[in-house]
Amino acid sequence: MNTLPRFFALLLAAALIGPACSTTPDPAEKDAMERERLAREVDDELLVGREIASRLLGRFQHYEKNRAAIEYVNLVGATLAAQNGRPELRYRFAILDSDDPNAFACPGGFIFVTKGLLKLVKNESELAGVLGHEIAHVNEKHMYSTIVPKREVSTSETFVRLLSRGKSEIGSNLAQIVDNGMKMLMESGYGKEKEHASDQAAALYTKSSGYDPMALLPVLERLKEASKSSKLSKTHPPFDERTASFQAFLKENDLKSTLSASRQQVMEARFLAVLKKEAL
Amino acid sequence: MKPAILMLLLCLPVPNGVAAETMYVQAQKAGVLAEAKSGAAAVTELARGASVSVLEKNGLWYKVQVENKQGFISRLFLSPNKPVGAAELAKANDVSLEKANRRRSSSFAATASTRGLQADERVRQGREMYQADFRALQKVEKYEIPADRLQLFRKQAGLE
Ligand SMILES: [Zn+2]
Repeated sequence: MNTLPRFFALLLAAALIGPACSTTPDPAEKDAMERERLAREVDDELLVGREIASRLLGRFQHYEKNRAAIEYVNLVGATLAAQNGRPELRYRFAILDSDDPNAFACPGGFIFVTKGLLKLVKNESELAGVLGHEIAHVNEKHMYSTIVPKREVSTSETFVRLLSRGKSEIGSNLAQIVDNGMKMLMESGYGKEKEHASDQAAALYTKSSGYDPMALLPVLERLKEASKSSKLSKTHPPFDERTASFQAFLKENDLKSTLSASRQQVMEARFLAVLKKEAL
Repeated sequence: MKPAILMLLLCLPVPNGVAAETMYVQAQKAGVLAEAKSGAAAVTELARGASVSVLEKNGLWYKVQVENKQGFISRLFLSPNKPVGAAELAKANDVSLEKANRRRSSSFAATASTRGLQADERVRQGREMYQADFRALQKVEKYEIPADRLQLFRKQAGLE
C-alpha cells in the first residue's frame, strides 16, 4: 500500500471512530469488526479451496450416478460437521469416480471421498471416521496454513483494511498457492504430524457425534493393505506408525466402542441399503 | 506523528495480556471433563457460543474455568472467535456464489497473466497439471440436504 492513501485512510478512520472510542470500544462494534475479519478470512479460504476442489474434480470425475450414495455421504458428513465443524463454514461432501480408496479435503470445507473408499468402509462409523479425519484437515487448516503464507499485519493496518474492505492475503499469488495445494494432495501429502493429529481429531469428533471413536482403526488396516497396490502410500505416512499412534491415543483417552446394539442395527441397515458394493 | 493517528492508535482495542485468554465453544455441545482425556466424566456441558477462560494449554487439552468450575476441554472444540454461522456471515458480508465466481475469475486471470498465460493455456502447455472443472464444483456447492432429512437421519440412530 502506498503511504499517501494509507495516511488518508488512517485519518478517515480516526475521524470515524474518534468520538466513539474515548473510553473502551463498544462491544457490539468490536463484534462487528471481528465478524468482518472472520468473513474475509473465510473469503480467502474459499477462494483457494474452490480452485483446488475444482481441480480435484477435473483430475477425477465427479461421481453422480448413485444419488442414494451421495445423499448418504452428505448425511454422515453433515452430522459430523453440525457438531464438530467450524460454524462459519459450509461443508460440502462429494464422491470422486475413482476405484483407488482415498479421501481429500480442500480449504473452506470441500471434502471428497472416492468410490473406492466407499467400497472399503464396512459400516457407518467407519465412514464417519474417514470424514472426521478430513474435516479435521479443514478445521485445523492443515493445507491452508501451509500454502498461504501468513502475513503479520499490525493492528492499525488490519483496521485500515477493515475500513476499506481491502486486499486479501492471497493477492497475486493465487496460481502458485493452488499449484502447491494440488501438490500436497497428489504428491507430497500433509506429513506425519498432521495425519496423526487428524486421526486423533476424528476419534474425538466421531465420539462427540455419537459414532464409534475406534472405527477408524480397521479402516487404517485395510488402507494399509490397499496401499500396497495403489498410489496412496505416496501421500500418507507409513500405516504401521499411524495405526500404532492412533491406538496409543485411544488408550490414553479411554476411548472405546460404546454403540448400543439397537443403534448399531439402525446404522447397519441403512449402510447396507445404500453402500452395497455392487451399487457403486 | 499526527495527533489524529496517535488518537486512533490509542483508541484501538488493546489485547488484555494479563487476563486469562477467553475462548468460545464452537461445537454444538462440548463437555468440560474432570481429566484431560476424552473418556473422563463431564464436570459440566457447554453449548456453542459459551465462553471459557483458558488456564493452561497442554496439547489437545486445555484446562479451563467456567463460572466456578474447572475442567478440561479439547482445543478442537474451541476458538478465539465467537461462533458465527455460515449463513449469518454470508448475509452480513454478501459472500455469494456469484461474487465468489467473479472474484475467482478476476483474481485467477490476474495471477495467471502475471506469468504470461491464462489458466487453460497453462494446462495445455503443461504448465498446470490439472484442468479445473468448475461446472462440477458448482453442482457440489448447490447440493443441499434438507434440514428435516438430516434431523431424522440423526434421530433414527441416536446421533448427536
Ligand atoms: Zn489425512
